[in-house]
Amino acid sequence: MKLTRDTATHTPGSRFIDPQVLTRLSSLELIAKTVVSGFISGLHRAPYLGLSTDFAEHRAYMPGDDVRRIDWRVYGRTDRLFLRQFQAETNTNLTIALDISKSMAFRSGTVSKLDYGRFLAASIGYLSLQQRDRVGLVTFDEDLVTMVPPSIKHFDRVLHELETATPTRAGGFEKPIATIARTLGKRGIVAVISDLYVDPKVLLDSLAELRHRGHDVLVFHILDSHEVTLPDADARQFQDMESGARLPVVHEQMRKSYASAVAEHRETLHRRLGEQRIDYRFFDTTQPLDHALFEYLTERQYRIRVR
Amino acid sequence: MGVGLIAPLFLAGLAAVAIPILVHLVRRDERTSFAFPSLMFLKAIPVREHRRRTIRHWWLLALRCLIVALLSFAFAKPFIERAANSAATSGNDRDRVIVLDRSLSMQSASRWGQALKMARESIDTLDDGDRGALVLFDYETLLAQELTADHGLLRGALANAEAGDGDTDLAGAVTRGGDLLEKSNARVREIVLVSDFQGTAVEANHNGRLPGGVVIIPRAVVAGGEANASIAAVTLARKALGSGDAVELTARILNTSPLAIVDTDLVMEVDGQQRERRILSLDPGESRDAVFRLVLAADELVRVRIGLGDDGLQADNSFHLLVNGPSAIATLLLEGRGAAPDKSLHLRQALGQGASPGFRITSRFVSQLRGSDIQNADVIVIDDAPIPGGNLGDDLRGFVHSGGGLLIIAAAGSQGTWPGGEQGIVPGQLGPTVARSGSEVGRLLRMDALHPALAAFAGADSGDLSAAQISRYRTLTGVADNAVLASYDDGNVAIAERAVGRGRVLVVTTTLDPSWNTLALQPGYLPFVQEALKYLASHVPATHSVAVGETLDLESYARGLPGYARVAAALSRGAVTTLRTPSGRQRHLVPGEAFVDVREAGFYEVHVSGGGGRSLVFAANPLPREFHLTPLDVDSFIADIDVQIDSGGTEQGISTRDLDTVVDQRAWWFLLLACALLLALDTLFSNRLSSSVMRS
Repeated sequence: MKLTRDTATHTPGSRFIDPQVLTRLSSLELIAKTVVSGFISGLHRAPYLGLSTDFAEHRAYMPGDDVRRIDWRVYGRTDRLFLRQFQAETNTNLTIALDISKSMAFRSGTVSKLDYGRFLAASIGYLSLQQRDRVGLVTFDEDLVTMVPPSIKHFDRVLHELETATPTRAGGFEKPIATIARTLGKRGIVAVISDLYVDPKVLLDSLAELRHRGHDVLVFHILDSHEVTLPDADARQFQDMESGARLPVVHEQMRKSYASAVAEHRETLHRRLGEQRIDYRFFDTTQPLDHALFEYLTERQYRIRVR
Repeated sequence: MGVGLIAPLFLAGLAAVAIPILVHLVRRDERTSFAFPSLMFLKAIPVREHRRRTIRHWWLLALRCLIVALLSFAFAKPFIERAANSAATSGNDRDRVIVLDRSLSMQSASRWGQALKMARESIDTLDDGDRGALVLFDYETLLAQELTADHGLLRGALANAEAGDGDTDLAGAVTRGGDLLEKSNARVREIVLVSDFQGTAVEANHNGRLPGGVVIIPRAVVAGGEANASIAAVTLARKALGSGDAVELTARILNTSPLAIVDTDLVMEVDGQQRERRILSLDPGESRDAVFRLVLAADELVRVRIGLGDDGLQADNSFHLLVNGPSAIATLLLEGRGAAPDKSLHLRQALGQGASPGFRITSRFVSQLRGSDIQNADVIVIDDAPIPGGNLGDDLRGFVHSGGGLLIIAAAGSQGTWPGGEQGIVPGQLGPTVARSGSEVGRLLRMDALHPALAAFAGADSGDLSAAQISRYRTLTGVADNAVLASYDDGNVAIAERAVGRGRVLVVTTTLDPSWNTLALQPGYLPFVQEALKYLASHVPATHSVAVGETLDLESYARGLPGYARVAAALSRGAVTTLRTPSGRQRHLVPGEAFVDVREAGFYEVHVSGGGGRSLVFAANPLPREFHLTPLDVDSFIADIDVQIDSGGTEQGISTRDLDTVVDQRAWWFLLLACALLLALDTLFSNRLSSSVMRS
């Protein structure tokens, strides 16, 4: 397995895995485990971060453990440092909403946006499962396609749906997000993975429904590098993968304007979603998944802390 | 060693290299759209549409330009010259056929001298042991010397060669040369083609054929800037003038050269004596008619030569023709005693029209008929009169047997016993008269317009005699179906024919005057009467001249000349015949085969034993197409020669310009092969490129 070190990221010591390498793994579960275990070992964090107060057992103190969890009473009796271990409980519901519209099938290299979204969803799901969160999955395009309710037991179904998701239709947000909002009962975290070819206002209006129902919403914006900067394609015209519409393109003229438009779109999303307390993260498909996980996990810890 | 091109014009195709460049520059590839996730941002960008001017895929463009250039070069048919390997061609390794043009155009100024020199060089450059052959050609080929290693024989055959008056057939010459080399096992087989390569020497789509591997070495005789005028044709118009004919000869004179001809002589000679001389000037390419007039008496026959002054090509400056005086068909008209004076008025009037030929009518009552009358006639008409009996009847039968013609107009006066049956001359038995009147008036139907006697009605719009009303006619029975030329609407025979010996008899069962019908009032009456009598008299139009290259049937020719009936008869009997050509050569013709292959221009004389002491003369002239000296494109001519693929491979006929070199034209195939491979490569790359674009 090829491992690369991304010095530009903000996670010193972590080892990031090239998404192209992940495509060689046939099992989505194996991909998730690979990503998560590498990520965990990089963080030197304990796998269980539950807030349950049900004591389970003691274990010896290891350098790096949180000193706040040292059981000083045992230390007083035995003169040795032990940590208190608690029975972890399921903390929250994680619902991953993956966009499987046609545009997600685009790829300039070996990893399409949908592939990247699958890996990300599987990894987040696996990681959450490790934290005893309930994991559910919603795939959508212009409508809801499949839905796996959040559950501690349904991760296999989640993985299956992720593997079999096929882009067939155009994308949309209003209808599927509204459906998700109506369907999800208990409050939880909703992670939306999409390329977000939508007007920011429409997206905000759609996500507002989730926010009003008390969900924490994370938005993972995935784009291919060719979508960030206009590709130097040989063709004279571009065809919309979803609508089939064609547009003559003059690369020399449009490249700069296009890059500015995309950057502005990202900036608008970041700003407007932030105003609504919706976390927004942007990834391109060449970016290691570990980084995405870190972003997610950081966000999750923050949410739990402020809760 | 050098490289040359057979068809350098194809190099113009190099300009086509611009095509792939333009395609790469301006190509608007609508087919290969780039699939993009969303046009959301692109739509919002104002686009100023303009054509792409940058070239993409330079290597693909270079490949395509190379293909076009190679194709162009291949079609230019490059050849590689290399020095002949003397060692390799020692022994009998080289067979060379020298094909020498001896057509009329080669008589021009120094052309023949050049041609002989080139032919001699071709012999001189043969190595010991090499074999050579000499073929002379104009419109036909003559093998002057078969393949031989004795170069002295070749030189001897060449020394005897002369330019003739024939036209040129280059394709036939090339083919003949190839035939000589077809069985040759020599390593080098070549044809040295020495000619002035006239543009008229090759017919469209016929450039000859060669066995594979034969090399053609064209040696073009270079013509200088020669002014040349020629007499392309002379036409005759005749007008009866008392006892003679006024003959008008119109000569068409052409200046076939790019130079003007100033003040040249134009003369008309009659029997060798100059009758008229004119001064003529012609611009380049100009043609002009000159009219000469002659008055000729009956039975007069003169040799006429219309000639031009000296110029680059003398052979086309004369036009020879034989012009006869009035030619008339001697017609003996027999009438019954007591016939009205105007009985034959319509018939006489009809036969009196025209002068080519005319009809010289002699009228007799049957009772006044003499044997000499029959002998002097070409055709006899018995007009509503009894058939002569006795000795005259026998003479009449003999006349028909020997080739004379007899027209019997059967009507009320056709009395007596007509000699029908096998021993007779009438095609059937004459029966009673049928009278039809009023609404039952008869009509002529079912005319055999294909018969020569009714040839006047063969045309689509020539009409017929069906409008004539027939009120009476004699029945004629016992006529074979194939002998009936026309019949009435009730099925009775109207016109019937019988061949008797070498002569013919026609019977018309109604009158040719208005007493029984209105035939004489019909427009078709005159041509019918004239054509019928010409047919019965076996009339052949006089031939004034023949073309070099034709074969002349002397007997048929003699029949067309007035006063040469005895000569024709003698020829038909297989008389001993001696021919004297214009150049003065004499030869005897095979008795019974009086045919002459006309090879020279001028007047031929034929002496026929038993011909009454008269010499038969005919005039011959070259074909006008030989007068045009503009050369053809030799390279194209050679390139279009059909090359037979030999059993051993696909080697092609090749050409060169140098006797001491061998030319290899196979580069053509290698270039085509290279083009094919590059095209395949181009297709492969293009497909890969296309699929990668589609994939992305």
